[in-house]
Amino acid sequence: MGDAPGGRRRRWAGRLLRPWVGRVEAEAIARDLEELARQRGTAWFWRSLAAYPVRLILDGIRAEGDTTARGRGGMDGWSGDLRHAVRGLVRAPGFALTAAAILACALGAFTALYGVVHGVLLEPLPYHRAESLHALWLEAPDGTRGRMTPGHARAATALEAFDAGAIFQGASASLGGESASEFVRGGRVTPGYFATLGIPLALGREFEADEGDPGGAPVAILGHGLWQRAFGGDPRVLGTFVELDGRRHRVVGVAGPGLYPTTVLVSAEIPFTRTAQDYFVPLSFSSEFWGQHRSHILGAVVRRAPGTSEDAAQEALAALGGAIGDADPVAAGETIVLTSLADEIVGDVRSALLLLLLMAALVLTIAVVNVGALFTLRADDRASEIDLRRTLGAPWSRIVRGLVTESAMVVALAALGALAVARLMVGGMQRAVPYSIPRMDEVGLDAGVLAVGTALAALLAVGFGTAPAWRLFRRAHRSGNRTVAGSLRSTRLQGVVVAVQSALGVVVLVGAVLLIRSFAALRAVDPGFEARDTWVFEVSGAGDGIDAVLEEVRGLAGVASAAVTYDHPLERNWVDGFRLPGVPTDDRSPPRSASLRPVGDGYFDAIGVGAVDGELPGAAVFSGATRVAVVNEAFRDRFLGDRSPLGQVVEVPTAARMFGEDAGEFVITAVIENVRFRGPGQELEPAFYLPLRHFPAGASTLVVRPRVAGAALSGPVGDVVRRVAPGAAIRSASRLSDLMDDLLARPRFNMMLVTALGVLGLALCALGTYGLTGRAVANRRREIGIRLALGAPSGGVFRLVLGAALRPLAAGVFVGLLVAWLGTGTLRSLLFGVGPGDPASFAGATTFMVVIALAAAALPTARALAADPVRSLRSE
Amino acid sequence: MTDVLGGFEHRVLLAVLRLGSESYSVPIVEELEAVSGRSVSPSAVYVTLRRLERRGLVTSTMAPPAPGEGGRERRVFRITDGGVTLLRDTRADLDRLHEGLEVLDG
Repeated sequence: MGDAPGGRRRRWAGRLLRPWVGRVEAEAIARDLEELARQRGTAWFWRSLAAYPVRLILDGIRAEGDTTARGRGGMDGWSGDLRHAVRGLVRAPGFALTAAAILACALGAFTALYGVVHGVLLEPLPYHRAESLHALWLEAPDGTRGRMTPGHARAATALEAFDAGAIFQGASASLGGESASEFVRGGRVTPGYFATLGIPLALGREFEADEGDPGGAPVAILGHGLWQRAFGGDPRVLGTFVELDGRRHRVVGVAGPGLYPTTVLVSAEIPFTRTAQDYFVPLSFSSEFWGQHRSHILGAVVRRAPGTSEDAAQEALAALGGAIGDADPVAAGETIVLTSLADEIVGDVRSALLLLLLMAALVLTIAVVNVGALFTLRADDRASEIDLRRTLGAPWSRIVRGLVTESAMVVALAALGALAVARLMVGGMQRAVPYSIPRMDEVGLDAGVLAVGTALAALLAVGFGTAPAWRLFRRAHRSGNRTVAGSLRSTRLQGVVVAVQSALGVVVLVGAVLLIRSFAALRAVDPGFEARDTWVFEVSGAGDGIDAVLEEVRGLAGVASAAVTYDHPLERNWVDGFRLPGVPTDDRSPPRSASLRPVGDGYFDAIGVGAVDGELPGAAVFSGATRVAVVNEAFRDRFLGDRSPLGQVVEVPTAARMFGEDAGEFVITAVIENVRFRGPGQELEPAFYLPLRHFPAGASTLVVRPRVAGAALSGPVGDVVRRVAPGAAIRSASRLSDLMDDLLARPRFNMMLVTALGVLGLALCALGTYGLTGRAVANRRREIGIRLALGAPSGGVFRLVLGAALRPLAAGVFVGLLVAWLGTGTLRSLLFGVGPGDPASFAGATTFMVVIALAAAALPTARALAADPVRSLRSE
Repeated sequence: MTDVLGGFEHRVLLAVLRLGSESYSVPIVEELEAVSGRSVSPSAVYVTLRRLERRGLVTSTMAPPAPGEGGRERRVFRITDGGVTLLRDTRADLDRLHEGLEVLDG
């Protein structure tokens, strides 16, 4: 016979049909099919084969349906099923509650995370045609991304590839009030800012072209939040005056709600809510300043013209960047790049959120497997009851309906619990991360999210009801349509469930351990400064009065040292170009730019940074006429190489242009440690510190180190500011240690959530293993009893029983580790200091899983062994 | 007997009767296809045969392999007396229904 291909497919068909009709019958059908297929082809063979199970089920159900039609009426219909189901569940409340609780936790966690992903990532930004909005950046030849310079920004926003464009800069001010001043944050923006974003103003109009000019009458647009907060939403505010930093500004407009702080783009290091948009004023520079390509201080947002692709826009920007670089050597090698505004606002939380959702889905799967097993075993236990009902004439359809009704009730209970869990979780997440996930405040369990949760629940209800029925039905058909009871073997099911859940559990655990270790590594990073207790006060509107404030603060009893600074110690707002006349360059070397940080006398002492080379300038040098510079190690390593940094001259053209030809030269007198002012996970950045007195732009930040660690200084310093500079406003101060914590908020949040999911997953695995092993042991009680009665040592029996539970566990853990090993690469962007394949994390997760699962399996085994063998035997 | 034959059941039962001792599922499928000119699903035939068997209209036995067939057993179906009676009743019913319907002639 032509046995080669036909024989093989015939044997396969026999194997596939065997569960449905038994071996002999399956082989007969397969041979018939093979004979028919000779003239009809392979496709026909498989198609016809697939039709068998379907028809068998349909036929079974229909045949039974016929019997009812002829047979009994009585307790028919759903209400009967419902009564039956309620009675069944009330008789076994432990089962119903366990199943509902497991499902509620997992379904709730999944729904909550889906809600967050939905609100943060899936809902489009409320801007008009948000997908065509882009932010612009300057990329240095080494790939570092920085802000735009005035020249680049102005030329780029005017390109034809863009419909509209606006330039902006973050700003803060003190808002004058009747009794006290308030510290407000906002932005300086060019006309057309709101039109570019496509957010209509709530009242009034945008700035007009000439309103940005120096010397023009000051005007302001109020942020929606400030308008509500300070003016009670009164429309008569238009045309009135507000006092910002002591100057009267006429209110010409009020921004609409739902405006995201685009200014976050110019100060991405600032936690999100700290960039509230309280006010806007026109961005004004001299025309000369608009032409320069050195100061990386501006943000730019553009709206791509319809019909212009992203690539075309990027090309136009590259051409522009090249042309600017050719014309102005300062900008040589710098390219303009565009990014999606939505990506900038939502930022790197995307991968974190999707990962969390995936983890929640895995935990949900563990729960579903667990509860599914519970339902199936329960149906197995009731096999004889079902037999009885079938004998009395109940059709399969009735039995399936009854089981589905029962599972639907449990799932409905679980869904209610899940709703509560999801609410709690979303609320908890919103409290735990007030700012580090943008749009988090918009997250809610809206109709769409609940629909997804409900659909999932409905699916589960049907699945939990039909799967066990299917199993019984198949069983009955295999054994000649006779009975479903008898020795339904659940051992294989138990093995599969333990294997699947331990595989999923290990994956979740590996993720959790990786994030925990990564967070520990982040925490261990040396921030570069010692004085974690130092307070930082942002003061606005003090003007020259800041010096008097500083003197008073230094005189306070609890203060060890204090200083003023232009920039917040943990922010980086000013990157500027410089020249090093002592270090020759060729044409191809990248433009030199670094974080420029004007600081006052005593700054290094106040934040606790020591010199690694040279000597930190003393008070006299700092305030004298000598122009000194202090650079950090990253600056030295990047720009000075092996040369001795001390005595090198740094020329700062911006300073020269602002304050005169001779104002631009500084001599390096010290090198200090790197302060990680962008957070512990970020790359080190070169920085140079110049005496603040050469930059009358104005200090707005006060750093104060207390004598006693942990001492609160906000009260006394606030008093000084109110007394010495009445027009100034102080933002509620914070300690450097708290700010460091803020910078860790997002990784901490990720770590906490993944850990919570890991613990939940582990608990579910333990519960499942415990329950299933307990059942397996109970089923083998007779065998155990005989072994013990015949004098087998209980240790041996223990190992025997435990061994049976261990094999699926080991297989599951192995598969889980493999999956985790393949999948943890997706975690890379969230990890710090540990690789995605970190052996310690894998070992840790495995240990956790194995120890917990072993304990869960050993407990019921030990209990069974402790029982009196004679009584065990008698119980059979 | 109050039993009623479904359309496909009717055809399958007739095919079993026609094929006599040769009536296992392959010739039944081929016979039905030859008569109707349409393709017939073997699973439908199988399920129908089992159903007819449950209703006592056919019986089946595993027949020993026919000589030269490579040693294969097959399930052979045989119509029961009840099956023959039901076919006769069904035909009588149909005939009465057809009576006087000239549209159907020719």
